Amino acid sequence: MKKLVFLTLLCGSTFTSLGQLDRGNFSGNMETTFQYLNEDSLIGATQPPSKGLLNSYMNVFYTHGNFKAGARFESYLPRIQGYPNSFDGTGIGMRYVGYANDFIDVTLGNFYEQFGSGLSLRIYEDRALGFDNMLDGVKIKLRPYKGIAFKGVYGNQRLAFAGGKVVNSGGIVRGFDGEVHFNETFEKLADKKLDVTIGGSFVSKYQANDDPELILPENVGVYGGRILMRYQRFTLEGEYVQKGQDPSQDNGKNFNPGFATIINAGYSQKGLGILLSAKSVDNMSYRSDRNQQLQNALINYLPSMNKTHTYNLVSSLYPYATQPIGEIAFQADVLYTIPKGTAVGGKYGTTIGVNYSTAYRPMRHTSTINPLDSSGVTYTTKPFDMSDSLYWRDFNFNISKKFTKKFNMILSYYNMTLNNDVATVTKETGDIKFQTVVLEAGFKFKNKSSLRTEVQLMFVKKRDSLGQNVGFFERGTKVVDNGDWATVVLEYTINSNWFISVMDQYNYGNKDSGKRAHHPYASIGYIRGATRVTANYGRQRAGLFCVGGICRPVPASNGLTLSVTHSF
Amino acid sequence: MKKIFLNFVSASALIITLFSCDKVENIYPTSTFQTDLDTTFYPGNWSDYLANEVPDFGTITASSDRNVIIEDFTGHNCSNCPQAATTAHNLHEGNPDRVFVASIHASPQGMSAFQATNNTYKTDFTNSVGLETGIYFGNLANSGFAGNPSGSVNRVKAGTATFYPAGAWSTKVSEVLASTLKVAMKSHLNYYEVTQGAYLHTEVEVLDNSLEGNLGMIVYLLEDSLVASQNVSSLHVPDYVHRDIHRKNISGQIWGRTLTPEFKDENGKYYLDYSFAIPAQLTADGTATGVINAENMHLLIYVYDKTTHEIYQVIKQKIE
Amino acid sequence: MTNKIQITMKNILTLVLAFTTVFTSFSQEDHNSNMSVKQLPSVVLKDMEGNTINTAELGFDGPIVISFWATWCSPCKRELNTIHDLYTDWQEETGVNLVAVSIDDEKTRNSVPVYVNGKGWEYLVLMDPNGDFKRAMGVNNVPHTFLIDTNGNIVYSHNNYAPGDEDHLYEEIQKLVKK
Repeated sequence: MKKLVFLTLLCGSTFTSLGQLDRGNFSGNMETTFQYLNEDSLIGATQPPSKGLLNSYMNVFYTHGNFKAGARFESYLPRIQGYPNSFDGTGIGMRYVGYANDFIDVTLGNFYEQFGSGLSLRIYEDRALGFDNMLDGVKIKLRPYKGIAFKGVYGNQRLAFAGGKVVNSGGIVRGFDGEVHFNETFEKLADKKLDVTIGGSFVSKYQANDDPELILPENVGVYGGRILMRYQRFTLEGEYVQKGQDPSQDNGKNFNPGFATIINAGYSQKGLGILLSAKSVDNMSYRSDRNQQLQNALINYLPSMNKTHTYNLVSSLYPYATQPIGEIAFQADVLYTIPKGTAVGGKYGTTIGVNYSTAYRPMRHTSTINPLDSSGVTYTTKPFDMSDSLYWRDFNFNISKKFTKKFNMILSYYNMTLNNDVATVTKETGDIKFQTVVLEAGFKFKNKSSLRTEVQLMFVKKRDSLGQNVGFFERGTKVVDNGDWATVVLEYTINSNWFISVMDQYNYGNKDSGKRAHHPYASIGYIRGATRVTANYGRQRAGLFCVGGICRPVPASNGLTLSVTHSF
Repeated sequence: MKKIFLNFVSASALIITLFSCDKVENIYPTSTFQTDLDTTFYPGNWSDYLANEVPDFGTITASSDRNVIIEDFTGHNCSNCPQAATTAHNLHEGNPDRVFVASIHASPQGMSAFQATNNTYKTDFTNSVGLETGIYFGNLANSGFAGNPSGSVNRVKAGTATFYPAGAWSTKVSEVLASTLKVAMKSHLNYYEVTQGAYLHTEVEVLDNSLEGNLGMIVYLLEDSLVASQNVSSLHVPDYVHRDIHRKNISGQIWGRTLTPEFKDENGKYYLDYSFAIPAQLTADGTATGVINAENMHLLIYVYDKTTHEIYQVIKQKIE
Repeated sequence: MTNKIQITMKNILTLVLAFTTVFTSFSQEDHNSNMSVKQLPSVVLKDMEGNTINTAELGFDGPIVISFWATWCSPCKRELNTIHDLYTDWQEETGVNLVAVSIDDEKTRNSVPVYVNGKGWEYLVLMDPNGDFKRAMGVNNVPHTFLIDTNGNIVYSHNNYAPGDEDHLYEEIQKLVKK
């Protein structure tokens, strides 16, 4: 108390003598989304009892020299359609104070952090997905010497936002990470062609045992290491993490260890980029509360190894979500620009991109396992020990060409297979195979307006009477799920401030002719500097909204969505 | 900027005026429950039934311990659900006269891919009341019901959540078993095989007077077991034993019947009576024509708080 | 546990106290800073080669354009590809430098060098996989482009990309250089 009085006196005298002095920086952003929904029985859209829905946030950050502080206010009255139901009320969702200089960076309160590629710890927020697993505690970062960095975190994890207050999960998370970039640290190595960075992390969580029948470990740790090597145009990086016994809702209370490893190899030069990746994950779902499921209380981040698609039919109908229990995945990604001035390249160059990704179920060996023994281990497996069970396959390419200053086109093709029994997104069984073709064209007009149009066609492979996938256009075959779709998008930018767009998704291939519905959707937007106001109206089909391999089902809706965002 | 702001404000004002009006035509809510018993279930004269068959609750003693009902919200195509079902079943086996399970096939969105039928998972385990209950709690903010498997023990809250994962059920069961009983219940059932109909008579004595006026009663009709397909950890198991399948609410509506003064007698106890037909059993191949087998059915009757949803007492009634 | 928190709170308080004392002693020296314009925050990021770079010490002379983008954001790619065709001229005339900050997280982070090199971009590309710089700059969604003057003040902030926005941006850059 004495200190506080002294502090206020000092501050008071400081401010009177400061006069012209810099008072520090305020920055932040706000976002408000309002929905008014109608009943629509054709697509199964319901009207919420309150008719209107609202999500609203504002972040305020203050920095003054080396001192920083910030807070976030959130409001859900109630939450918008499809948002997870752990958000309700109005209140402070995040707050922190901190100090940072070249040597130390300390934050007290709520914070976000990532160790390496996130396999052991990733604390982040994705507002659109309704994901926020922030820690409430202390974070310290030390940079004792150039190229060397240490991080330490300790805290409770956010689980939900109930009645305007943050609800934390029952566990405590703590972690430590160190990294050395040799070429920066050691002057002798600064000019060497081989560039090496190594890092290691250790994360541990504590949760009291609540199971009356079994002795569950209360402290579960994940430790691992990573290395990144660069040699001229080649890069090779790898990370491996190992988890101790972690019986949980996700893995059926087994006492198996878990591991995850990711290897990336790349080559790049001007005009060409190549990436090859491989991933093997087993039993790496790591939560601060062992009873939670879906996207709650996750400590680490296991992204799916496939390309993030942007066209709406490809990205939201049958997307692939990470299988936390385990998967073995591979990806190859190439981007090449045919130089400008050549015959095929044209005046501006033509870009071709090819991508392939696939995922399989890992082999689980049970021959050496005695289910009656007291070890609790239910199978054994090794990294990259693949079974034949396919989870996912995606082959796609795109060609992008600017013909004149005013006209350009992008052509894309996708051939995908999704194992719906495992990565369930719809009511069908077995594999869903589909092909999609998208043609996008952009036009610029004299009066500074421009038009962008997309035509997307998706063909879902049909099945015969035995349930086997046959072709796309055979007669007398069974239509799988909702059948084929077509989408047309027209986006007209009137000038720098205004745009309007119209989209229609047509389910022309539905086996039930009464359900072959059009889903028209119109948007108007106004942008001025850092402010953006958009109004959308129309029918949205049910789908999945995925970010980084975490998918959230969004129900069908029909109505108005108003959104205002501003950064300051 | 000002112009845009004014436009935005006027647009939102317009929208607010548009949706904030709900016009109510008839101020009294219509009750869909038939308070009259269906006398055709009794193979004989109804007056004989009233004279001889109506039970005398004085000869039956009510349990003085609070029983537990675990509501397990599940789905036959939900790979993590069998573990939760096993947890619930083990808790029942540990205390078979006081811990009961109800498996309700519904997701927070009602019918989802986990409950839907297809060529492999052919049986439709859902019913309209179960799905409606799932949607209600799925929409209720911070109910904790986010996916399958999830469930509740006597709808007692854990923090702010009514629903919690299977790992949390055991502690809640112990908590409820040790708590004091606030509502005593008795039941008696007359089943007539020839008509496949039954009459249920219940008596409720409210021991804690502060709860008066805010209680409701729900009767679950459950099918004991069915051997059918289940997704167990992403693998199809065709001969899985599904237990305690919720088939319907005897009162018909999702929130049952309210304990109003009209059901009270001079002793201050409530008497609620129901009549119902035994439905056909479910079949593993999903065909509509199952057999009617009363021995494979039972009732769970419970009294709950209309504000907090907490279930004060539940009793089991076999059909025989 | 509470004792630990009390000790840390006391430490923070002492720290704040220390700084206010330092500021009083230096208060007479600084009269130049403009109170209403935002300064570029200091966040430590890595570039595509793994070198650590502090956003407040980019080391460029002349104005800086900071553009937030991601490999999955089509309008962002359109904006940066359009500026790529004009970049040489822009640099010659104004000495501007463009820093493309990628908010790709671990799922798509590895595709960043593939895209940047495949397209032949000459910008400085910084990686912000956990959104630290994005948060500090108050960015809601991408694309979002800022213009920084030589004193580290943010003089222009624009969300979204419409064809023609690069011309507005260039006008702002020219205004800075003419001053």
